[in-house]
Amino acid sequence: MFEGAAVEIDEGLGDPSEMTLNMGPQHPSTHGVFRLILQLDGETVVGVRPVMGYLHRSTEKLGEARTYVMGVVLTDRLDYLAPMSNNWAYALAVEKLANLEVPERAEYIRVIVTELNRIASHQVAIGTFGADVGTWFTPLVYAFREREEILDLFGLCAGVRMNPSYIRFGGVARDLTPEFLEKARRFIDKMPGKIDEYESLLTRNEIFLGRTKNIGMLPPELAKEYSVTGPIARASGIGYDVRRAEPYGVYDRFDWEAPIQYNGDAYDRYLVRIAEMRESVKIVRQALRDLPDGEFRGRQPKTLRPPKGEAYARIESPKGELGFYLISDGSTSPYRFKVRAPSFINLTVLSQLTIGHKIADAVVILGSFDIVMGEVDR
Amino acid sequence: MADEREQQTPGTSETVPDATQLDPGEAPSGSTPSGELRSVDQSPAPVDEGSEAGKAAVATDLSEIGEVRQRTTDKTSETESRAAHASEAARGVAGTDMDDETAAVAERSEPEAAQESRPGATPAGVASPDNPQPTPPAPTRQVQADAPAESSMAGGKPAGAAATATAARPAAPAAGARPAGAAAGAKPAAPAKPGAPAAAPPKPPEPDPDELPALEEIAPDLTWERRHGYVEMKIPREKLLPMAQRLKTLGYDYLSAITGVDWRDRLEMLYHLYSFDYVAHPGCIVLRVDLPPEPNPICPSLTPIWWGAEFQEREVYDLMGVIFVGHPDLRRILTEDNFPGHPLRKDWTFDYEYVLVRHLRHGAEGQAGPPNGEEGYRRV
Repeated sequence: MFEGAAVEIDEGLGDPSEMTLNMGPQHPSTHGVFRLILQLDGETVVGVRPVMGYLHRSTEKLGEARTYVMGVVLTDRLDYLAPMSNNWAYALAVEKLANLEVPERAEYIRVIVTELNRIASHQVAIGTFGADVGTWFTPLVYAFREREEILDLFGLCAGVRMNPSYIRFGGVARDLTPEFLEKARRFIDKMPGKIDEYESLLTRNEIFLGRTKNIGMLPPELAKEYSVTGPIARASGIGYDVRRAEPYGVYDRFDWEAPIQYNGDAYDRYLVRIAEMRESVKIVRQALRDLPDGEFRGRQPKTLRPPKGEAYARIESPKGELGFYLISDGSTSPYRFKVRAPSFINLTVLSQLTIGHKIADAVVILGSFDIVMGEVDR
Repeated sequence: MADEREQQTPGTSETVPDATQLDPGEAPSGSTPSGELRSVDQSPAPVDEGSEAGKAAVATDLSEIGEVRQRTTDKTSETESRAAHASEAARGVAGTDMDDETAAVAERSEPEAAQESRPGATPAGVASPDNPQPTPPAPTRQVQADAPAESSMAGGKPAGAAATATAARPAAPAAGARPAGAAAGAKPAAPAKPGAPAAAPPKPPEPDPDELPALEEIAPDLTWERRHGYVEMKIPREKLLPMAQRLKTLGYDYLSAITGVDWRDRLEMLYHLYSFDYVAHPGCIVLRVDLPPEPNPICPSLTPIWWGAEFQEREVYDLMGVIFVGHPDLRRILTEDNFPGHPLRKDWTFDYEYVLVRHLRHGAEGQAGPPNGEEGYRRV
């Protein structure tokens, strides 16, 4: 398991007893256009080569060609299941670069929408993960039921349900309406019960346990070697959360925990995501309670020309540490626009985890990683 | 932002004068006076900077640097005179500044004294060399005065910030009123500190990174600065692997991001290192490595130390064209295998034009059939 980083696969020319199988790029369990070239000995995976790039849209190059404000739209499309996180990370980097102030109300609004988005992202992760392990689509439909409400909330605050471009430099695009606040409070009140429903479908499910327990074990040392972050790392006993390690926004004002599990298998990743949804509910409830009055957007220059310099900002997105590295040359568009995409870097360890498992478990392991190809390929 | 950029040249007392000689040596090869700016090799050059300066900056080993110095000795007289002029000016400023410092030291409060005791505990190589060598930072200020446009990346605008940095104690962004005196007090014998101009807001001292002594064993002439709270270290490329290995053993075991930057006159690799134990090591260390502006510059791969570097380095190779020596599987990862060039390079051009599919199928006026035998696009 620890032999090395690379997996050499001899496509079709190796051991005659082995078979090369293309899983993807068009495959329901690859969560997008992701391709795995599996080298199989019987049903056992002996080699994995991930192939990506089918969704490459040259986001970094486009970011250099567009102005800073236009870049917000690009970030929506990275992790399209958690656009608020992307918006925030990018806005943080630009605010560092241009020394923009963020009003307190905007900080709270950011926390509210981002944690709602974390719930929505984990709902997709858990629902599709259930589909991967063979629960068919019942958990998915349950999860999407509440996700719809979150997206409707985004429609209320940002005007659109997906790709909201809501968090802008120095604040947010629009203020929260009383209608949003009321609906959000109602949603938050009922959400713990809904999470219990998801758990009643999966957590003690015999088949689910059999499919996920001790599958894709990721020891903490290996996770550190591979720079794994997010729920995957926390399921391996690494208590690393950027909200704690380098607090941004107003996260230090809320009472919440970073859930952690120690077994490091696919089941623990599921448990961490469930627990994170509960923690997000707690954070949103406190943020809604403490939401101050005031401006929702700070004063900004009409044309944003940050001074020459560089800034790296990172946040804890639902997938892991999401970072933006921006270099300004004093013009209206960034000189360098780099995205540190958590899904992409978490995928590095996939081959190591998959080798030795059965091919059906490879699907489970990939599902437990919760990748979003928009972010992997950028 | 510019006022947060500080720099320091720690090292033994022999290395510091060496560094001062190096700078004029590098300077004439560049067309700008910023060549003698110590921070030229730490701060990314502005886009419009002369390419020669970049070449000098990426001289990768000491012998090369020595050659550069030899080649340019005939030009050093000019820069020396400029440096002398600069140091004179600095002393002039420092003379007026000393009064402020002493006053500040006099009214130093107890917590500041406690803060001061910590830098005192750092090895002599860290704190001391700046006292006998007050001149090296001086040209920096002069250059900034001469050519603020060139040095704007190095804190040119509120020139006081960089000047505070010349006091060798990196200062925190949040400025307090008096603690600059504490910085001066940390070096009790500072005779001619080329201190900040009186107008500059004094800043509280920022302690050295604790890892500095261990790192200086590897790279004696290590220069570092603090930017947005992150410690950025400029290291030559042959020091990258030992430095990364040492930092990993020191606790910076989380390689977060690998970034390639094309500065047109050079390429630069950035490695953001954090610690999973964020209580013990809350900071971030950014290793910056300059690469020559070749189509495919060579850089050591970090995969022997962090296997997680594999995909990130493949991405940098794909988009920037950097060849990582020691990488187990260096192939393109995001673009297709036969993609022309490396798209994030600034000189990469998009030399394709789209052809409508129906033109390919049915032919169009002036465009019959699939041009060049390629699918979907044709070369202009």
